[in-house]
Amino acid sequence: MRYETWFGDIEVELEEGEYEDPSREVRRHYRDSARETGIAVKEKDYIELLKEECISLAKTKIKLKAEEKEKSIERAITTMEELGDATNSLSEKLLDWYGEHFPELSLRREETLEVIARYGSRKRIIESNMDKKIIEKAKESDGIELSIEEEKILRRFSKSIKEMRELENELEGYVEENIEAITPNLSSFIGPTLVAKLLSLSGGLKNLAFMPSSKIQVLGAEKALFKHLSRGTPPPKHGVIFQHPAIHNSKREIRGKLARDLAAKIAILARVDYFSGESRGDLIKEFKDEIKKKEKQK
Amino acid sequence: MRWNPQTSKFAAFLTKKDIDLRSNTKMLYLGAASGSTASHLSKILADGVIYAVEFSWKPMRKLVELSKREKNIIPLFFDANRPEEYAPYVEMVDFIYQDIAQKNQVEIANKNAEIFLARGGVLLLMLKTRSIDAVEETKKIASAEIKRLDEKFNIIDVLKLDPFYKDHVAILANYDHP
Repeated sequence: MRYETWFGDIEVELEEGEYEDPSREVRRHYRDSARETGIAVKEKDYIELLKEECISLAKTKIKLKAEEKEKSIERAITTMEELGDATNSLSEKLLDWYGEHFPELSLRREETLEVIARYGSRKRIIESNMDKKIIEKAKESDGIELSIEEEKILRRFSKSIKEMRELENELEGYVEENIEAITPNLSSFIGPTLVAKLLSLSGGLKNLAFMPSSKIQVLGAEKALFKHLSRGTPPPKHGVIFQHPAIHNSKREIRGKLARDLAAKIAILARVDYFSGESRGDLIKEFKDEIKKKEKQK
Repeated sequence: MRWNPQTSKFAAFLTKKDIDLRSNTKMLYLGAASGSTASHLSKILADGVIYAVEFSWKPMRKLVELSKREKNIIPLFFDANRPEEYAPYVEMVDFIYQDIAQKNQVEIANKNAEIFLARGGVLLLMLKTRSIDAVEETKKIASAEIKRLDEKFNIIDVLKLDPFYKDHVAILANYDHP
């Protein structure tokens, strides 16, 4: 009988009827068989070689899984971004509309949405136990009246926007959690949100890993870059990595330098994440310290 | 790092019952996750080996890293439901430790023992009863599941893991397969 093992197929002849389950007997002697085939001559070699084999197998499979996951994350990222744009422009429309009815309500956007969803018309606000000042404003408002039909639509509209916001948050949580799993090093260096943006701009971790740092530096500033190339305007110093606090919190004069440095480190960590996937806490600490040092320099 | 019974079912089990773990034990660990329990076991089984099976890629990543540091942990990225797939990598073992939150936990244990557990070997099964039935009493689920264990197993002990783990029962059994 032939048996498949990690060190190759082996041929074992056992006398019929001697063992109830011959494969168990074969498995009892894996180490001997490996020695006989000349693969693991010493006892400790067996474990060492087997481990090597299993690690490389596991790594290949992990990479496959991670790539599968990446596609679904990319979808989630684009959905999240479009949802964000849509809710922003829709809530703008809603606030304009409601503003005709109650122009004096000067709350923040999210609070206004909440008020619309919960109460609707000024009449209901006056009847509610809200902040006295707002009730006062509602009483003296000179906005146009709202029909029952309109009120119903506006409340519904506002609830929908709130729900879309919740979906956006949920997507964000999903994206962040999974981005951390795919890019342990990059995420811990610049945070999952920025990694998500870099991945969606570059078209995936593989692309990012193969990208020169000069390109990473201006990812997201394509318009300025091509304007520079075609019309000779000054080149962009930073693309989306501007969102990293080390850059936008620093003085204008050193932002270019920092962007260049940050992009170089991102390029390295993208490659670590893509090719090995190992967490390199030591490297991240070193990089963070270097960036900090440069931030303080003039 | 201290071995904490709050975070490792094996440690919780050891607070209740002392078992003899020889240092040259060959262990098949089903559901090794990211390997925090495995790292403690690897020190106890210093001259043995731990075949650590895990089928989720996120913890597997950590397990691979751990196995590079600990010389006797072999990471196996396989589904414990399909032991035939990792049979080419795993020799006969003296101990199966299983911690898998699946409905068919017992079936998984049976299948793996049939292939890998040597005669006289030990099974330590951490039965998560909530994965089997969300509402039924832990005791009832456990006794029903024990009946489903292969008849080649001789039950040595059945212990609840509280207060460390709710709804978990540890089943210790001996295997009698020629």
